Amino acid sequence: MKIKIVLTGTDGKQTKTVDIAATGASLGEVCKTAGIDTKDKDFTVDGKEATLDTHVGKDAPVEVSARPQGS
Amino acid sequence: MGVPKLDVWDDDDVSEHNVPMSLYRQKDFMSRKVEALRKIVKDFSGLSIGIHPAKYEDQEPFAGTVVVCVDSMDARRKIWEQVRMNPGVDLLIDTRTAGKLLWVFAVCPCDPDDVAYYDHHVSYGKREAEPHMCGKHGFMPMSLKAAGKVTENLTSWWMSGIKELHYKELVASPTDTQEDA
Repeated sequence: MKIKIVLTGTDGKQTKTVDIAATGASLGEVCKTAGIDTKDKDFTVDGKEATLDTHVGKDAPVEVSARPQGS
Repeated sequence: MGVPKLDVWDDDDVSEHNVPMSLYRQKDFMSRKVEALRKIVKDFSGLSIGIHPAKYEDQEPFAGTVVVCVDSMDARRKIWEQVRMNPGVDLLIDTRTAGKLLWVFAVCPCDPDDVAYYDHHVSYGKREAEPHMCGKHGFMPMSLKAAGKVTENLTSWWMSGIKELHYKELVASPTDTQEDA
């Protein structure tokens, strides 16, 4: 199962596609497989707020974003 | 926009890095930000705003619409404590930036869904978010985009009760790259 991950940092966006050998996996597992640092990030799966325990199913887009705090 | 009363809190002075990303002028250097803003708003609209050259420290309760333009999660949390479930506040707008990344929240303080969503987004500390980059996002499109989204939310909310809970944008156009893990 291929999962598309959009990473949003403070300087730009990057898209990764990761292949998971299952019909679904936790977001934490997906990010680990993709080599994504999950510390201090915000997540959405299929457009909804998510945690590292959230199940990621087939065709569910994943977004991982930095958290801005400046003015 | 027809706002008859506007109160502004800020304890800071205008610095050089404020000019490229705001309407502050060269002659405003070293002035209190709220004093300079009062003159600018007066020139633009004729409105005399209320100014408080201090940090907001619960001096008076919030009422009406609150726009938060602070640079730390601690300051946001302090303001949220005064606004959360406060029936005197109809809307809280919070702008956040880091580099080219812009977030704008528009939260109804008495709407349980909005409150739950925003609770999460003020729950983390300053070390769990991107470091504050004072002035490093100092190009006009960033500030204009943030101000535009604030204004868009305010007018839409006041005219029709519609707002966008969480707006996210990379203000500059980055080059996307494709990389398989």
